[in-house]
Amino acid sequence: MRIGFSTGALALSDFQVGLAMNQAAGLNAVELSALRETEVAGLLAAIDGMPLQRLDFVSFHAPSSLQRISDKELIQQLQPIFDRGWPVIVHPDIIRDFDIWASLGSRILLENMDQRKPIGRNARELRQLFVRLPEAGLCFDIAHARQVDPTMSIAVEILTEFSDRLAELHISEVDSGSRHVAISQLAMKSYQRISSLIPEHVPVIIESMICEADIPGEVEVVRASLRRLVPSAVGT
Amino acid sequence: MPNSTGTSTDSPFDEICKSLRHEFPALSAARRESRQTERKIRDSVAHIRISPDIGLVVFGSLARLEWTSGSDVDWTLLVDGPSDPEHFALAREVERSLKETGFSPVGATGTFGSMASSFDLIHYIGGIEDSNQNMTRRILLLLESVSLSDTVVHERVLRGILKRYIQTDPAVSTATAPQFRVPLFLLNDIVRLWRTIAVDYATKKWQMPSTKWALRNIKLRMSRKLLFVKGLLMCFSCQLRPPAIEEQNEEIVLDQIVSHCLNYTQKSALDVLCEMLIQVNDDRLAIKLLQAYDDFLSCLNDKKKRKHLQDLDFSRAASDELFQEVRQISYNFRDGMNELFFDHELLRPLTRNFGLF
Repeated sequence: MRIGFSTGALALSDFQVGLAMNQAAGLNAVELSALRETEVAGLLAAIDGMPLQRLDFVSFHAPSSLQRISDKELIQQLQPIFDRGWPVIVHPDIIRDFDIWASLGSRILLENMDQRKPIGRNARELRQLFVRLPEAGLCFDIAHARQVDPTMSIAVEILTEFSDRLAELHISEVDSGSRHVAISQLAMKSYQRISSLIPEHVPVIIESMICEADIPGEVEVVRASLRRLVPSAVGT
Repeated sequence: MPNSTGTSTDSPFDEICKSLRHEFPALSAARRESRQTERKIRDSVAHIRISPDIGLVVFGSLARLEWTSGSDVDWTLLVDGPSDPEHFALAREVERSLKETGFSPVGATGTFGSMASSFDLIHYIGGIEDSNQNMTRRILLLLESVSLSDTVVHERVLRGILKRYIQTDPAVSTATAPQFRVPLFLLNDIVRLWRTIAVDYATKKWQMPSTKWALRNIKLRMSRKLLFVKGLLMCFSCQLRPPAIEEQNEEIVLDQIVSHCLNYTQKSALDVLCEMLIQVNDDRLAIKLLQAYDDFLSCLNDKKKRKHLQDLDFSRAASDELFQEVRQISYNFRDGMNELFFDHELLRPLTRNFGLF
């Protein structure tokens, strides 16, 4: 299993600290997070010096809102990420110009949203987006799906309909204030029920906002939550 | 009707009208009026910022796409999250906005009142906590409700209720090979609501003998019956029109049944009936049923006739020309439903197996 944390979950905007914690825990995947647009430049400038060589999977989380720059300018900034072949996770509500994002094909992964966002929360809303981004992949946020529908039937719909697009999994628990927190027993059971719809080769990025001491325990909870991953011939 | 990709598709009602080359003007007008009224209501409450834990949901004729000149707006704030004393003020704000736009206040029955919590609807199914009101709210939410705010709360509560019925119902799946079958727990509660409505009609007639009894009587025979039919067809559809099972994990199949039933909850009762009429492919029966319902709505939309029925004393009913006319309409509707459920080979076995015993 390729598994690791989002740097933002471990250390908010301090990606270096987040990355160090992820490395220290011996995890083989990471998501570099620049959730605020002001964080993008600094993160990009530091990439060459990051100890990423031993990792089996690296992705990049684009800012969750754009106030100062256009999506075209953001895409231009992210060129070094695309050049490295790292998938870029995008919240659908930042997209203004669908054509320019569509031109990036499968290099972008749309993330399903939590209940606060008016789009991209269920299969119906994602379908409308994928019509305009026909080659985009899916970053399935299992916690968002559970917040939108605790029965997990929406999660089943998304995973069934978009199985061929699934390229990354976000996992944590989302509380009533839409904060990403450590996974509870109830959430773990919900995730176990549907984990057979998630192929084993899909990289798992943990978004639970926890302190460093809790990393090993949370990783174990994630592994237990996904114990019915479908074995696949692709990847590890 | 817009579909999920934003393009336009015909509703089952539109489809059957084309196929029959027949018009049902009162039904078409009521559907048109319903959509216009829905837009007006959305506009009237658009300035109210509603949190992600709350849905503004309407019921009754508006949700059934049967809006007529005498209809009122049955609505509730559906709370699916932490309770906040400010919810009450929010409900008053919705009420004030609706009144200012000229809509009648909440229906006199107050089945929903101005607020409803998802907790009771999902957790109290059967047992002593499940009051008449809670059961009525729950099933009406499944059979005739539409969200006028963001749909996420409405859909989440619907899925929660459906999951309660389906996850514990052994009729839906077996240990060896998951199958879609008639969900009996859900079916029994829908039957319970239909019988409760009929009993409550008698109670109201006893308690308020000279008030609106004739209107309630005709609604019981027509719109309430159609609602029950929608519930029956939703349950029967699990066996009649099941989605393909590709997944052998029983828990995931149960989730698929929840989604299948949810799809039915989001169609109007008339559209669910039209889908079945298209499937049984009996033009004569389709015209009989739809014409009866068209005549009923035409009567309700006629202010003079509606007022006449509203004021009609029970002792004069036998000799009242209008009442006898609408009664005959209801007989036509009943006879058509009997044909559909008891005579057509598609539904007959299910009606026989699940309709009574």
